[in-house]
Amino acid sequence: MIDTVAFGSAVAMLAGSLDAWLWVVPGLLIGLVFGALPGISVSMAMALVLPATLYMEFLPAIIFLTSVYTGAGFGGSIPAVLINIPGTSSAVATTFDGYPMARAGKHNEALGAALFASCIGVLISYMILLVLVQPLAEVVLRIGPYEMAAIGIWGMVLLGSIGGSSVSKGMFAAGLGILFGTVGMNTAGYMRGDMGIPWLLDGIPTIPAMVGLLAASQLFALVNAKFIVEAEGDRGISLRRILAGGAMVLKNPVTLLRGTAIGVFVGAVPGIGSSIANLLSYGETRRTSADAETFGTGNVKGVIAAESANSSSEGGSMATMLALGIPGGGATAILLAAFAMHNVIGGPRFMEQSRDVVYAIILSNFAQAAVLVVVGTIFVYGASTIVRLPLRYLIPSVLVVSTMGAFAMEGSIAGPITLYVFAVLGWLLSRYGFPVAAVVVGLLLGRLIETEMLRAWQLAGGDLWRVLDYPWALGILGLMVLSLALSLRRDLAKRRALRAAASPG
Amino acid sequence: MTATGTPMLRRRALLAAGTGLALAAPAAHAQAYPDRPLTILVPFATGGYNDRLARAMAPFVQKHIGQPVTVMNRPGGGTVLGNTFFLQQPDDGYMVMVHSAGPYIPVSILTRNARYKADDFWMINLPSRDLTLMACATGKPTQSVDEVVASLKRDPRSLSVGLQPASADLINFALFCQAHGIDRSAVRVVTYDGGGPARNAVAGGHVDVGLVGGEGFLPIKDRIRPLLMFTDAKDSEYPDTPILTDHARAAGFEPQFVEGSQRGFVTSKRFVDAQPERYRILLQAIERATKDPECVTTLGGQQLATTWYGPEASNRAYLATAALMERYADLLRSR
Amino acid sequence: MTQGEARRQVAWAELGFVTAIAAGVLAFVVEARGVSRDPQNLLLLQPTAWLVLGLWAVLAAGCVTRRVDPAAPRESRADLARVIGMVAAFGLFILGLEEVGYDVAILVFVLVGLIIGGERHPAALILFPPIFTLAVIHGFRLLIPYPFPTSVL
Repeated sequence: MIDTVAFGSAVAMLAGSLDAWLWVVPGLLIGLVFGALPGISVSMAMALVLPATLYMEFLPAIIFLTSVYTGAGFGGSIPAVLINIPGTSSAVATTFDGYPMARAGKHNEALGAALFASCIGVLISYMILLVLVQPLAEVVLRIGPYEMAAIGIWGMVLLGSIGGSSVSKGMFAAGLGILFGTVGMNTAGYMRGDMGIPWLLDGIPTIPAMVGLLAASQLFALVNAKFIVEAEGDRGISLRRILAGGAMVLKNPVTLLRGTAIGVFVGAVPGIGSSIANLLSYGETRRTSADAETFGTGNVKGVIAAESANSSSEGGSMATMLALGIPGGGATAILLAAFAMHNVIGGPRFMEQSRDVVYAIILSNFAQAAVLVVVGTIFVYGASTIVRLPLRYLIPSVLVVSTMGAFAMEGSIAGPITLYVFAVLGWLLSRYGFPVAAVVVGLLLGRLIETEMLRAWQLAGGDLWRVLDYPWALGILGLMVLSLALSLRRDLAKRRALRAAASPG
Repeated sequence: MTATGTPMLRRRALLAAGTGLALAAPAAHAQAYPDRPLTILVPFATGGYNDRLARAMAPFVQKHIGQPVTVMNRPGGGTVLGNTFFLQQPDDGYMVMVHSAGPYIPVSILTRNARYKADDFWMINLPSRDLTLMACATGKPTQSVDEVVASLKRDPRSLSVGLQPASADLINFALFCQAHGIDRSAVRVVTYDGGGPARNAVAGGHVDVGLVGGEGFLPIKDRIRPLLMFTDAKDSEYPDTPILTDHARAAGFEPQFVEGSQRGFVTSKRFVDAQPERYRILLQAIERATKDPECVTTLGGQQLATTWYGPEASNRAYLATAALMERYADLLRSR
Repeated sequence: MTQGEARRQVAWAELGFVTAIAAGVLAFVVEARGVSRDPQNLLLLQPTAWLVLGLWAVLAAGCVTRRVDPAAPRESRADLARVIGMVAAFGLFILGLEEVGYDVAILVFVLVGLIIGGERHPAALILFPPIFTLAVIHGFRLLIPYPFPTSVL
């Protein structure tokens, strides 16, 4: 499926334009910095460098922008691990185990694992892209409301009750999250829960709410602690341990590949993919692991699952952009705008006529993934100094930066207000033993599930049996029920074994 | 953490400032306005038509007004947030919008309880006119608009129709159903919050038929079958697609439709009244930029419109759309 | 360890919190039903709201019949006061952003935050807040396209 002539000319094109390569490292660094700042999104970083690319040739411009994209994709996981702040909505699942690892003094390993999982995820997703760009785009385009609703429900079921001190508290928190997700105007045009506030029409601003729930609430609880890492001896920053974290990725190939596969297919669905792919990958890994109960307390597999899925979403959304000219999200929309500024129109015709350029873009992303290993390691090394900062400095500083990031989302006070309300809510929830992560999952998936269920309902004209016309959705739901039944049986067997072990004593 | 990124960013900022100054020099003959940079406000997210138009026009407006011009996005609430923010700014002419003014401003008033009025805004020039296109995926059996009509007449539930709620497309579909005597409330209408998702749903075959602005379909033209264009004149991009006036004549009804998006430069009526001299300068700069041959070629290459209609024609078109929207307000609200 | 040592005590604070949230959910579902009873409005919202309200009953019952272990460690009043102080300071900071300008609000909040966190060294209290404020204001001016009001910088 690879056009060898075009492939050859792509290699020649990349070898011939050395100046294009100069932009990889700056691009990755800009992406890392922006991705690491809470609230500043990938698309904002790309929009900011977009004017600079006007003065470049087409290929260097695109390589620069995709480098920013790749860098930002990983950048979000750094604050997720170190201070429980998901830099982007696709790094939410990274916080679940990354932050507990950091608190236990395993920040080096967690970041190393996140970095390697990201790089390998990007690499594999672009390899798939190189061979399957057209069919991949076709598959992604066919994922409609029924399939998406089924995927969303699956994610909710897998993650609905993570953490928390009891099942009823977990479900209460998840339900609350879903309700938060339904605030504002829904896809059919009904407005509810907006309290007359104009900016709530689009729903609760997700990123500030998430940062408030996960991070700010956590920071309040840390006011009486001295450092993120309690034991002084564990606060070291070690290249060897970062690389050891990377090695853990290679020891968990199944987790990595599953995450990548979920990322490529689910993450590529226009608009909503990448924020659900990492959750789904995390949930599936947790469900299938023998040590499921250690998830959420610092299991490196959780980090690998989340990071391989969110980084491979990049390759997937590039597929729909290159092959169909459909932007999957803000980042690819800006890439398309950059294409347009150089008088190139993405889409099927571009794929046919400029296959060599497409290959050159894909190949340069291989290189970016490789360079990211080095640049990312250095960056992680520097960013890890955060664990050495006393919390009395870190807490006000991080709260200020998060507030500025929340402001930067929309340029209005709406972000900071949302951040504060959800920070207080998150603090109270965790104080009384409710799983805050379940609220975040509900908030993220609630809107998705409502939108897609509503469209499915509209497609069916209110007739539920129409779901029978959608074998893929049925397949997903069937798989879900089957896998849940299996894990339930396993849990029961485990409990029986425990009881049997306890009773003779 | 910021330290690593700043050298690069600062260099870029200097570069931008440098080009701004260099361009400012020729127009530096003493005048009070403008003496600082201008901002183009786009009430949509980055990457859409308005954003691309604003970013492509910015260097040319900069050239003709003699001050740096930057683009700012403030999306949300179906442009309510951007519109409200814009009207809150001082009437000093340092901010101008690039907007799909028609139908977004009137629709936001009718369906989102926005507090401004349609004539609070003043159109400088609306070069881009988008039309509602009825289309289906190439893989669907539907070959023509007549088949759609026949199928919906036989059983309104036979086809699913994708469109945006509270849009010109919905009004056009409602009028179309009315004219053909199709019971719209029985049709399986699937709603999408944005033209992009609606087009993806059409191209991916999630819905049988979709009604969305035709311009956005251009990049994926090969994947769809255009069925009907809601217009009275053939469109150059879709020369073979039947148009509503012909379709209506054949079916024996009076053609009624509303134009899709009317996009371009917009300011506030208050500014025009309060600062006529500044308005004249701004208008002149935008007119010169729009007619700049270099601008025409550059924007043409990006499939962006540069027609100059001027404020009079643009306001007339905009207010006509607003009046039509108001007339069909019940269609927008009732479901 | 006998059962008698753990005595029954109503967890008032938790009960109040759960009830307040449930009241918010009830208000939301009532408002949503007021907008429209069309399934296209209530498809997901209403069942979820009923579920949450049902769980409220379970949780509230749990709060009333809770058995507390008197031996369990309790946080000291001073610790709790510091946390609440930080929550309040952050709230005032958010309110003050547009009132006194981002620069002044950040400066004051960082200073108060340091004091709540237990920093007592005068040099640190004098130097860190202004340097940090400068860095944040100038850094974000470079990064984001939106203007934010400031008083001094």
